Amino acid sequence: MVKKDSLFNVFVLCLLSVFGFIVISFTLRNYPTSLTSTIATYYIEHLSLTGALNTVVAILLDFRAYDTLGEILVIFVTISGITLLIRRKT
Amino acid sequence: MTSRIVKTVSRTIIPFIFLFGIYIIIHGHLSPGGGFQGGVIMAMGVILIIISYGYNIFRNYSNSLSLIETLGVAFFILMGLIGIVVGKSFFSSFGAIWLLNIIIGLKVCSGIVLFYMLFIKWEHPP
Repeated sequence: MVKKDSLFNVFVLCLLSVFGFIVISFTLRNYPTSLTSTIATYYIEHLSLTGALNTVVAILLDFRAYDTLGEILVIFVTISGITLLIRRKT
Repeated sequence: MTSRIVKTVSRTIIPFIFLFGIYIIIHGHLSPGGGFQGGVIMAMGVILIIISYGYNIFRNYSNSLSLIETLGVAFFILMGLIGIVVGKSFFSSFGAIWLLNIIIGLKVCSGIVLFYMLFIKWEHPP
């Protein structure tokens, strides 16, 4: 029984190390920086269109407002679900 | 019930928590912060009231909190539709980030207080 558990642990260790090697090799790859840098410079240069000085809020509420809509809907749906589940039958 | 020390300290500190939350919300487009963060800070003030003074003083406000929550979602989508009426795209910019921050702040504040009140509701029978 103990031997079977240790064999299983060795198998999991090998699997995790293979997965970690794959993830690290993808992370350390040199991505081309042209795509991200153009988007970032677009946000910074067109900041005056939004009327905000805070770049993070300008991105969250203006350039990428769908993301904030999603956050708001997550809280809304969560509260609706909790209200539905916790309701006590009288 | 909680002791006199908790009540006194929370009574002293709660106005400053609300002031800080309102500051974070209405300065959201100028300084770090925003509607979400300020709403969470204001919700922590309300939760501190509930912890120190009992749940029963807030029992009747549950419906109005959920009304604020729902109207917050509705007004946020309405602000997105105003962008179409103005002539740009959905959620386009017309210089109203401060209004969106206030809407999100009220909505997140009422939402997180509602979380807390839903979870402690059955601990305090009427």
